[in-house]
Amino acid sequence: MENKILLFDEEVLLSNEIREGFELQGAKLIPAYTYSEAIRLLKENKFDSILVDIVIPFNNEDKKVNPNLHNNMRTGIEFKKHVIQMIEKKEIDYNPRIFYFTAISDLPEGDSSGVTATIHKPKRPKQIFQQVMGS
Amino acid sequence: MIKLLSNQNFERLSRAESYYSKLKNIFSEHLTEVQLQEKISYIVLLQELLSEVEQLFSISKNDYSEETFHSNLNAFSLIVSKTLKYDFVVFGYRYENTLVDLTPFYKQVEINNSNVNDLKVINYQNSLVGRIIDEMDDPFIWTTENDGDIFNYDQFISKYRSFDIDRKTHKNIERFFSFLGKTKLTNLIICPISTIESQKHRPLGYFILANKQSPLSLPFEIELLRSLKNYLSQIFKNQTRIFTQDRDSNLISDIFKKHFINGIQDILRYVTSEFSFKYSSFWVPTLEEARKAFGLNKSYSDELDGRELTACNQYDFYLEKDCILGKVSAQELQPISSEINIYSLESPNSENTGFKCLDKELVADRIYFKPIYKYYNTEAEIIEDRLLGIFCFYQKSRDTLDESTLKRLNELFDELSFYIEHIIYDASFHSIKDLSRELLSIDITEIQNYYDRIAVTIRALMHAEETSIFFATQDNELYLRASTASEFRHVDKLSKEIIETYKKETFVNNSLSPIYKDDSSLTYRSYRDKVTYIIHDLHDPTLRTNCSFCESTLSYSTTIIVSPIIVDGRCVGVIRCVNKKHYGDAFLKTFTKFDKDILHLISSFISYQHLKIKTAENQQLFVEKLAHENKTPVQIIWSAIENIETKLSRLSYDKSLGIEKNFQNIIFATSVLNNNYTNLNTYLRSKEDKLNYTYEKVDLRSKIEEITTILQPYLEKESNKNIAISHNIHHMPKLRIDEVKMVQVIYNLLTNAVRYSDNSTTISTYYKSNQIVTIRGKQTECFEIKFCNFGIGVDKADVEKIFKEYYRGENAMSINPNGTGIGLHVAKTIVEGHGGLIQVTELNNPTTFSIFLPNELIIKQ
Repeated sequence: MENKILLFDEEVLLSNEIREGFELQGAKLIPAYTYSEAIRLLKENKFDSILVDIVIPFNNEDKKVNPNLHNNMRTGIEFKKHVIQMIEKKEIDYNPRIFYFTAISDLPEGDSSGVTATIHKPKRPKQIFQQVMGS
Repeated sequence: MIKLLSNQNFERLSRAESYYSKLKNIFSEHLTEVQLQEKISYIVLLQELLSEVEQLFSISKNDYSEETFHSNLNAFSLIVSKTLKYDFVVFGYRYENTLVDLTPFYKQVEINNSNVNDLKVINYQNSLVGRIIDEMDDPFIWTTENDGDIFNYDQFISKYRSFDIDRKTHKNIERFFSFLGKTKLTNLIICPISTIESQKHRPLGYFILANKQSPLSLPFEIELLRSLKNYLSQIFKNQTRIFTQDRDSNLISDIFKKHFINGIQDILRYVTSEFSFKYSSFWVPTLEEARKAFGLNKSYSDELDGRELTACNQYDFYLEKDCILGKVSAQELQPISSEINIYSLESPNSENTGFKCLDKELVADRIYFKPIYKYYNTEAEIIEDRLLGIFCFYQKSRDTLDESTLKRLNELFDELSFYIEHIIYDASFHSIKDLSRELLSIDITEIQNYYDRIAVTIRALMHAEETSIFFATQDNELYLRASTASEFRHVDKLSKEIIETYKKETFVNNSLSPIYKDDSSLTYRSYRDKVTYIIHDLHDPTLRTNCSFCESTLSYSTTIIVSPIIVDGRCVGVIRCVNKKHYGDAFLKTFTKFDKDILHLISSFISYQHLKIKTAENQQLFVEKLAHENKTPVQIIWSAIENIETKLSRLSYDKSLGIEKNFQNIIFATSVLNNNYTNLNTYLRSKEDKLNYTYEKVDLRSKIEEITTILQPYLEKESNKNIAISHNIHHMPKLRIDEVKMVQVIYNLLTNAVRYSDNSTTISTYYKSNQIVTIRGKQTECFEIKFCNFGIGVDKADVEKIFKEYYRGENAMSINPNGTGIGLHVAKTIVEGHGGLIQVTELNNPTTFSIFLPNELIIKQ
C-alpha cells in the first residue's frame, strides 16, 4: 500500500515545501489547511500517519465540526482527541500514527497521550521523513 | 491732708510747689480748703500708686508669664493696702468665664489655707463679684458707717439703681467677707477693671478693698479708684491677651511636638475648657454612596457625663442635606463678620440644625460653627472641596462670646488649620510614601504575588480591616484578583445572618468565576460608573445597594469604600476596603472624603503599575510569539533548501560551483537565529518561573552529531580558524529528557567552544557513565557529557560568574564583544531543571565544560 500522510497545518508555504519533500522521497502527503477540511480528508482517505500542528486558527465552519474548539488555539490537541475518538467510535476504519509537528516546546504531558512522537519545528526535513516513515 | 501723705510724698509735693499752686487754682473755686487738701493728697497718692504699677509691670514685657503677673499683682496689693490703708486687698482677673482670685494680702487677718484655695477660682456667673463687674463699670462701694457727711447710702443706691442691693445682697456681702476673713466688715469696695469693646463693657478683672482704717472719703475715693482702674485696665488687657496668646501658641507648638496622633482631640479639649463650651465636636466630610455627608470625627465635653456623651456621639453621621453642616460648608449662612469666619446659630434645635441629639441629650443656647479649610489651596478649587472639617461648639446657656474672644477663637483656628491639615493628611502622606516605595520595590515580573502585596499595603494605608482588588473580565464581570481576607461570606441584609461562607481560594484570580455581573452592588456600580462610593452603614435596609457578599471581618461589615482603577480612561477593576479601624478615642467608623482622596491616589498608582505590567506582559508575549513564529520560517527554509538539493541532484550541474556550501551556510545561519530565539524564550520563561519541561525519549548522541553537522560552516568561518569537532562518544544510552532544551544546551556549549577556541584546535566531546557528584548537597549517581577545547580559557574569578545572566568574562569580551551573555545561563538553567549540574574547569588544559545528569534520566534497554 502506498504510504499516505495527512499534514494539518494552516501554513500553506510550509505545507507545500513539506509535501514536496515527501513526494520527492516517494511518499504521498496531503495537506489540510482547516479543521473541517482535515476531518473530511480523514474520512475520505486512509492515512498511515498524521502530522498535526498545534496552534491553528479555526472558523465557524470548523466549530460546527467540533464545538470544543476554543480560544486558546490549541486546535491540534482537539484534533488529536477527535481522531482518537473517531477511531474508537469506528468512524474511520484505520489506525494512523499521530505526530505533533509544532514549534511549541512545553506541552503538558497529558496532551501527548496517544501521540507517537512530537516533531519540533524546525527540524531537518530528512529527519522528519525518517521519523514519520521510519521504524 | 498731711495725715494722708507719706513723708516722702509730702517732700515731693513741697518741691513741686508750682504744681501745688496750679492744683489750688483749678479747684479753689469749687472746693473748700479741706476738700482741696484732701483732693491733692489723693492725687499724690494716685501718682505714687501709678508709678509703682508702672514700675512693676513695665519690666520685661516680652517674657511676661502668668506667674510674674500674679506675683506683681500680689506685690501691688501690698502697696495698695499700705498706701490706702485698707486691711484687705485682693486682685483678680477674668479668665474667660472664670474669675481668678490671686492670693489675697491680708493685714491682721488670719485665714486658713483651704479657704484661700477655694477662693482662687470662682465661677464668674455664680459669684457676687462676677455679677458686679459684669453689670457695673464704676466701683461698687458699701459701708456700714452711716455718716451722711461722708457716705450716703441712699445716694449710693440711687446712683447704682441697676444693681439692687437688698437685704439679701447685704447678707451676701457680709457672708462673702466673713468667709474671706471672718472679720466684721465695715466697708467694702469692689472695683471692676474693664474695657470698652464695640461700645460694650467687657470686664477683665477686679480688685476688692475692704475695711479702710479711716472713714471713707467720697467722692475722692471714687475718683482715685476710677483713675487706678483705668490705668490697670490697660495693663490687664495687655496681660490677659498675652496669657491667651501664650496658651494658644503653646497648644499650637505642642500639637506638632507632643500630640500629633491625638491632635484633634487635644484641640477640642483645649478649646472646650479655654472657652467654657459645654460640648464640642469635629465633623469631617464623607460620602454616602456618592452623596455628600458628614461623619463625626471627635468630640469632647467636660460637663456631660459618660452616658450623655455616648448618647450625643451615637449620632455620628448625617447626609449633608439633612443637617446644618451642609449650609456651613456651602457658605449659605452669614459669618459673624468679614474678619471672623465663624457662624453662630441661636437657640439650636433638631429642627434648625438636623442634629438629633439636640432633642434630648444636649441643651444649648447657641452653637458656633468653625469651618476649617486646607491651608494649601488654589484659586481654582471649589471652596467646598477645600473643606477639611467643621468644628461645632455648644455654648452654655446665657453666655455669649464677646468679639475679642471670637476673634481669638477664629485666629486660633486659622493657625491650627495648617496643623489640622497635617494631622489629617500627614499620616497618609507617610503611608503613601511607603506604598510608592513598596510598589517600586516589587519586581513586576513576580506578577503572581504582586497584587497580594499591594492589597496588604492598601489595608494598612487605609486603616481598613480588609482590602480586596477586583479586576474585570472581557465580559465586564468582576473577579477577585487579590484580597487580605481569607474568607468571604454572604450576609442577609435584613437579618444580618450569614448565609454562606467561602474560602478566598474559590474566587481569587479565577476569572472563570466572577463575583459581580452587572448587578446593583456598590462594587459593581463603582466599576460601571467609574465613581468612588462610600457607604456608612452597609446593612441599612434603606440602601439600594446589594453588598451582601463581603469579606469576613471580626465585626459585621459596616462601612465600605470602593474605588475604580482606571487605565487609559477605561475602568479595569476596583479596590474595595471594608471597615475602618479606629484608634484611641476616635470613634469615626466610616471612611471619609480624605480616604477617598487617598484611595484615588492609590488607584492611580495601581493603574500605572497595571499599565507597566500589561506592557511587560505584552512584551513577553511578543518575544514568546517571536520565538515561536520564527521556527516556522526556519522550517520552510530548511525544507525548501532540501527540496532544491534533491531537485538539483536530478539535474546535471557543475559540482565545483560549491552550491552545497551555500546551502550549509543558510542552514547554519538560520540555526543561529533559531537558537537565539529559543534561548530568549527559555530565559524569559525561567525568569517567570514558567519554564515547563516535556520529557521525551531522545537519542542525544545523534543530536550532538546533527548539531556538529549544522555548525560545520562555523568551524571554517574564518580562513585562518580551522577548528574540528571530534566525536569520542561511541555509545550513549537513550535518555528521557526535554529534547528541544537539551539540544539548546549542546548548541550553546558547542558554539561557545568554537567561539573561544584557538586556531586549528580540536573540540572533543566525551560521555562518561557512573560518576558520583554532589548535586544540591546530595550524592547523586550521574553520567557526564563533556566538551573540551583549547582556547582562551576561563579566569579563576569567572568560574562561577560566567553562568550568571548577562555576565561575560573580560577575556571573552576582548575576543567577541557581541555575545548576548545568556547562552551559558540558559544552559545552566536547563541542566539544573533536569536535576543536573554544569561545571567549567578553571584551567585551560583543556577548558572543559561538563554536564552531569542523574542516571534516572537514562532509559534502560
